[in-house]
Amino acid sequence: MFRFISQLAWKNLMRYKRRTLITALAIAMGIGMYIGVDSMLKSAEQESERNLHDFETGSGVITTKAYWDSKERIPTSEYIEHSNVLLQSLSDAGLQAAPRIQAQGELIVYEDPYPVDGSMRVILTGIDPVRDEKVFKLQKTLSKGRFLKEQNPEVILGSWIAEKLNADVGYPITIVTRTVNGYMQTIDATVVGIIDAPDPVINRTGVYLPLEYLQEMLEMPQGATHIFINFNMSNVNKNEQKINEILLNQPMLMYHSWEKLAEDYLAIAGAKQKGTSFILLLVFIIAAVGISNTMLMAVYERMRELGMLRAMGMEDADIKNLFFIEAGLIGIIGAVFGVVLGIAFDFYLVTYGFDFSMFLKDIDIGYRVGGAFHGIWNITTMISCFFIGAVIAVLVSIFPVRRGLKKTIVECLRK
Amino acid sequence: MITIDALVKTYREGESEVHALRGVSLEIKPGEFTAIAGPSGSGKTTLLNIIGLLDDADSGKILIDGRDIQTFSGKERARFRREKLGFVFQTFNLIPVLTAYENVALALNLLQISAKEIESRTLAILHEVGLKGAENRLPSKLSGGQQQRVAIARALVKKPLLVLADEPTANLDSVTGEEIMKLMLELNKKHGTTFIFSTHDPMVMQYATRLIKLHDGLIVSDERR
Repeated sequence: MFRFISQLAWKNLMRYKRRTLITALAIAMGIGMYIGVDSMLKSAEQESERNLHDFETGSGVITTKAYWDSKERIPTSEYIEHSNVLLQSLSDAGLQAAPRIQAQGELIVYEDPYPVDGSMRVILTGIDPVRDEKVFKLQKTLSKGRFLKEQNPEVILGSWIAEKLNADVGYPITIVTRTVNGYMQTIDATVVGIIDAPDPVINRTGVYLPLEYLQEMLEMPQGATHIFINFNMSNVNKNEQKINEILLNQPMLMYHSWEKLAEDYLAIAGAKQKGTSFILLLVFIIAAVGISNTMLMAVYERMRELGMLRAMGMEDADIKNLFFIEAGLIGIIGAVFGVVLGIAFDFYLVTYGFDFSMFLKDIDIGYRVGGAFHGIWNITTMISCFFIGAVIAVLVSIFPVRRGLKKTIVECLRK
Repeated sequence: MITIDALVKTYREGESEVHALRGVSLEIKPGEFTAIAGPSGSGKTTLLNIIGLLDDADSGKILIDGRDIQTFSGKERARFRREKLGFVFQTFNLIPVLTAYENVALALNLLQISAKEIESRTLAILHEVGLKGAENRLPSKLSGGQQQRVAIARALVKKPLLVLADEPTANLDSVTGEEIMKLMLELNKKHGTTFIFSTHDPMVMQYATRLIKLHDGLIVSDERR
């Protein structure tokens, strides 16, 4: 019986080829779009987390409690004194660490060699040219000039900020900031390098100076606002335990995981994921309404046929199965097309990607993706989309079929 | 075989009531070739629908083969129709995506008998109704007369107790209609299957071995020939 019903269902679908195709295409569009967007978002998340780790957060950071409590205003005065001692303890425990200073400042440029006078507020980052490499990959992204040398008044800039200022290697730059004691400090430095990192935040805002030089300028010898740590993320608990043991005797200090450092990013990424899911839900609802409508039309157009089948003694359960199989087949056809569409979309994303760098230079969208948005192959999504497509098609056909079967046989035959 | 006693059926049409059957009683013996005749609205289709378990009477009793069909559950009714009854409608009601062969085999598919038996019985009945060579044609490729032959074959292939035909020639020209009546009578004689058909066509009535006339939901004459 099931074989016969399946054959009849297939023949009915072929009878209305155009309608079947249009409905299947609606499902295919929904599934294809879902696979593509999901692939792009997952890739963006992966790349963002990698870039955050490689350029902004490391595996985690140690700051003073006071600094963390008011970190939004970058309170440089709440720095870690004698950071070298802490760095040595971390090194003894087998942990890679790099000190950094973050401070607010104003970057000033003057006409000649710059086209016009100008200034902008920036966050200065003091880095230890030797130790920084153990945690971050900044040095590897140098696109022009050279990296920083200790104790020299020199600066490297992110590529987009350099482009905005029309700065180049060898250009002078003036930075005005405040020492930890609150005195104004002016730094005359030279641009020695430009970095082009895969992390847009670095390209957009990166202003790096040698740590020792900045310590001297800010009157905080051996001080650092942050000590970033890099460890193998497969062993997070063990490494965090080691860090906390080191900090036991230093109650003023506190360790924060990369997730805490990247709270803003994670919140934005989560919100984007929800927003995108909502849009995709709408796409699926539209596809579902399409299938429901197709099935409603199928039921009403074939009401007399339905009456005849019932008059011949076909049970309602078999008639329901007939329509459910038809809907399921539409769902499967749509899902097959959708997955093919998704694979094509994915292929383009994985191979070429969408280049949004023109927009990302000035706008922070949260994701740490600097150039093209790529995709990843996600077989699980494809398989689940395939089944979801088929199941949704069957589920939304329940209502029209039940409605059709509510009519008496005589009413059906009269249609 | 069929005993009907004081059958009443009333429909509501908006505010008014239509008395389709107003106490119909009759008996039909096995093998009879009975015409239910009468003008439109006389209640003949309603009577056929109730006998065919497609509709319910408001009151009265109806026994088929000694069984009170009004006590049947939905499943029992479907099973009874599947196994014991054959239907022929004026609009043929063939499944458009199935060939002549498949339309006839459908009745046997529902009975879940072996594929071999389905094939032999389907081909035999199709040949018997004169459709040899047209087995693989879709309904759209058949004439009206041929379509009604497929419908008759579909009704008879399961060897039913009773075939109910609601105005079987109404959509056919007079020549084809007469051919269909001759075929039905021939099959009735050959297989001994009981036929009850409704009509208002005098040509069709002349083929009946029993003619029951209805008017306004009541039997006005019952003549055996």
